[in-house]
Amino acid sequence: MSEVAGRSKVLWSIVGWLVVFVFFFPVLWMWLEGFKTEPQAASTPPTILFVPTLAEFQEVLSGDFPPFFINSAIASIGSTLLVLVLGLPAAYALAIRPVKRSRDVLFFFISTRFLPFAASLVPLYLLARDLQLLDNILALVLIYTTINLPLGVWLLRSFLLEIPHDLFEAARVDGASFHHEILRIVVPLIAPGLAATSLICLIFSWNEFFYAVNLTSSVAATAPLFLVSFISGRGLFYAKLAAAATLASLPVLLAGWIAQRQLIRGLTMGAVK
Amino acid sequence: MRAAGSIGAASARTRSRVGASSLRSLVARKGLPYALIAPATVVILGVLGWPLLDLLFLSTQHYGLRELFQHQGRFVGLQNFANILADPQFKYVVEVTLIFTAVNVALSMTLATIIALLMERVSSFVRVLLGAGLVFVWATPVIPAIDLWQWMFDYEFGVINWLLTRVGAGNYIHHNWFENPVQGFTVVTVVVVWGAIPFLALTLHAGLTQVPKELIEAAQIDGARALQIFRNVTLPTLKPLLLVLLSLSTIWDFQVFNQVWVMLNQRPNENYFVISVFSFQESFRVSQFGLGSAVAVVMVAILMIISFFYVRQTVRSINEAGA
Repeated sequence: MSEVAGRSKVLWSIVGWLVVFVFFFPVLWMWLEGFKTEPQAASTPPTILFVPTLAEFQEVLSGDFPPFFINSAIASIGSTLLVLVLGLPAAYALAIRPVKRSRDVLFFFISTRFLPFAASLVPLYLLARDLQLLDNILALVLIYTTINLPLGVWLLRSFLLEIPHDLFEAARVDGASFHHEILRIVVPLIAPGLAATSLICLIFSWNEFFYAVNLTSSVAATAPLFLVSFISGRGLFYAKLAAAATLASLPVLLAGWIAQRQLIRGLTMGAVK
Repeated sequence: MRAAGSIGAASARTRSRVGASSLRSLVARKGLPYALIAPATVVILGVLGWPLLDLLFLSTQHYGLRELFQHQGRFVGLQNFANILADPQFKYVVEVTLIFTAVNVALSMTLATIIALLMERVSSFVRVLLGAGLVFVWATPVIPAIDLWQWMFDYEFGVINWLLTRVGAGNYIHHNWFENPVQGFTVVTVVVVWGAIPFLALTLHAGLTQVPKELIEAAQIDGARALQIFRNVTLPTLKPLLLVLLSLSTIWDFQVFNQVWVMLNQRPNENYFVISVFSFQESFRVSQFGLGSAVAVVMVAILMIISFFYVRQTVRSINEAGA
């Protein structure tokens, strides 16, 4: 590498450091605040040197946070499982046994991605009320399933397309039943695809706020609602809020880190492989 | 008696099993694909399609609190649409939403492209660092992220006011950012763009790695400048991806709700009504569900008009890439 190119790389790297610092600063600040005491967290000028304490984390975990956390887990895991159960067969049909109308079905699935889902709030609210599903976690499970399903089908199909077609032919010649084909061939081969799809669904449902705030109140409220409920106590519970926010973001942080490549593939609907 | 009954039941079971298996083989030949697609389609039509039809229906109803208790609206034709279109506030809402969407999409796409290009030029250590920073910001759930920004911009304890005063940008002590809607929307834009950049930048960076290296080297040998290479080699390769990102960003930014709602303590004043907040407000705060539905219908319509072209292009490019 020439000296000029090397020097410009160093220069760009310094710019890179700056970008990381400015960009990442808010998250870093949140993590730090969680380890402070309340007076330290609310002080002006901000406290920079302090002795970290786990008190706020303990208080959040021993307080009223766990039920919200559990509701979020039910909504996320439940809807993700449903997406897989409903989506895998559809993706299989579209990828392995396409029929005449497959293209239209695909187009239908993908076009729902472009609808503003927030627009259906009033009808869904009235529907949930009529079905006695207000403040019931089942309503959120169903809605999250539906929001994630089109993307799930799309993504699973793209993974299924990568399986060599000969494998299915061979299995059918050997007289393998449909069940056998799905469980022994499809599932093991697209295990990474199943994992990626699950993560995308989990992350979305874990973070969803709009429907959660409008369709639940106390019994079925999820983690994002808990975090919003803090804000009314302005200026008093910053450290506790930071600790709770850190805890709530932990599962997603882990999932995002493990699966970033697959996440990109999923969210661009396969435009990046 | 009991034995005869159980034999009868057993033979019936055998018969039904035979029936089921021949049915299954018939289905396997002809209808299996349809049977596999049906459940997913039914769920989507039921939970997504039906409510949208119902939305159209509700937008033609007078549906206030009384109707809410009676579970029955009153048909008023296109009156709701006439009302909102004559309402000067709705005009403001649509304008603000369109400007907000345009600014946010433009800023997040531009900055994300710059960061993605930067990632190509830095040392591999800084690249990993940038990647990690982006992933952490991306994975921070939206509500904690908004909380975070809200309290960084807090007028009393906010670190931003302290910082701005400290570096001599003026006296920002006890400066309320949300008093003036232009300043307030600037803060909201910062939050939305900050949250949007990681996904866009990481995706564009992944896309950039797919640009053929030989093409760039050939262009360099021919003496092309960096900007020329970007325009003539990089951009055309990225075009399908940029289209996908542009349409997704437009859709996301057009229906921004959480950032406005939570930043303004769940009580945004009229200056901060973007279209999703306005629809919510009309429905659940004013209890005019018919009007709120009409606003939502207009929202879907505007989005369809804006994104029709992009969506068509996107679906086309996805079809080419995926099929």
